[in-house]
Amino acid sequence: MNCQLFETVVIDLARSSVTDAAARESGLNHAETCAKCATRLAGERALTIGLRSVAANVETNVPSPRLEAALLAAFREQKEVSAPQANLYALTPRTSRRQVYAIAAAVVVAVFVGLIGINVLRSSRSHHVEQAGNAGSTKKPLTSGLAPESAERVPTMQEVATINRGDEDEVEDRLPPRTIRRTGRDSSRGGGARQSNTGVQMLPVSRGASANMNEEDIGDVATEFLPLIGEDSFNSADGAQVVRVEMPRLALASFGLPVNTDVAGGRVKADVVLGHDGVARAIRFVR
Amino acid sequence: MMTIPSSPSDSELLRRIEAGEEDAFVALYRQRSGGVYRFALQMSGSESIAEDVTQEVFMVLMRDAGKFDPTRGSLAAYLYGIARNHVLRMLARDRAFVPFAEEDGGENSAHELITAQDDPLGDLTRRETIERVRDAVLALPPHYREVVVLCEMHEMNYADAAATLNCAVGTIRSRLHRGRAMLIEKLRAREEPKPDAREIKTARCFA
Repeated sequence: MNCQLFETVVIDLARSSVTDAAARESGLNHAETCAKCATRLAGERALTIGLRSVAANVETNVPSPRLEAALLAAFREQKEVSAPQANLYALTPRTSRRQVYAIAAAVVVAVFVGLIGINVLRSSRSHHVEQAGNAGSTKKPLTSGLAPESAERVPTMQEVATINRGDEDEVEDRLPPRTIRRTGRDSSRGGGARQSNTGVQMLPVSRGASANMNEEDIGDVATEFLPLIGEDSFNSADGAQVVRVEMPRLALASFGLPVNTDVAGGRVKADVVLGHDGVARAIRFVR
Repeated sequence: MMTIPSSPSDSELLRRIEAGEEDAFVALYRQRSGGVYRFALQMSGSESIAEDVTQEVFMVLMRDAGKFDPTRGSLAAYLYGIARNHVLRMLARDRAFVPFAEEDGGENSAHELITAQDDPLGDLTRRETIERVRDAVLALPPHYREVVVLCEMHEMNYADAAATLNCAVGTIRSRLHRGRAMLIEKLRAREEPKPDAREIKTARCFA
């Protein structure tokens, strides 16, 4: 070992912390042969002794007993403070879970009751409509001049022909207002309104029979059907369908109906009976 | 056969402290407070700072016992690390203040030698030596001082010291080497007589 290598192990030699026995032996041998390194090792050993003496001098130094007492008091205080919090943390999830379960149960019950209510309402309405339909078919024959209760049933020419032409309002006055049941696809499914070339806005087609009723449909009031073509042609219209349209109010004049000039610029709704060939057979006005 | 009750491990004590067991806290405090206090005392040279630091260390332990990660080092290294941070903070804070004279007296009393009374001259010599070394240590820059205190006075190994100071083992070795060299220089400077103030000094004449 040379002096340079000795310098790397001199502190460990002085501290007696060299783990490599060979390096320790080699270093000590070098110190025996090199006066300078021996002095260096002696100085380091003296320093180690001095430092350890200082450490031993304060070995009995401990913090005062009042510090321990103060820390203990703080520990107890923290324990008291944290204990209710721990209980709170322990109880809160349970409480929350109970609340969640209660809310979930209430929601389920509410939904169940709601569904039952809706079904009862629907069945009562269906029953009412069926009763009304039965009453209409028995008390008001088709030849009586009244329109059928159901819009999906295409009126016959006899029905249409029995309608007296006149003022729409007069017609409405003479005929009891009826509830129109438009069935089938609603406006959203039917693709919405379409505007024809003649300015007539085609509303969703109502065809086919269905038990579903929309509340907005129930409120419509309509006149009887007014024939647009010959009676024979209309009778042969087996595949006819009813189309809800909107047209200028002035179109009433073409049917020989008076037009209120104050609202002449407005539009009126109408149901048009179309034959299988697409030709309009009859029309009725809806309000 | 007699069974010797084994003392609970640090991890066990910390777990019990977290659970709020006062006995565990007392046991850990009595095991570790002396080392922490002495480390703070040797770093600062002030008993009041040492007490404050010890209190802070155990308050931290009380609040966040779960923060100790045994994979990063021993509990002693963890506590010394907290103490070191507080010591450096307090030293920086107190740097602008002049210590009271009473504290010096207190320090002297704290460093009284525990020696036999039948060799007053030997005791005096030893006491002077210890005082000189202690002053030299306190005069070291903090980065060297903490390594010297940990490795020499607390006989901590390099790995634990590195964990305490959050640095590499090589850094500990080099700082210890440099710190010891500085101490030897300081101690030799005190031993050597100061040059006479009236000594004629030579100066280069630029005339």
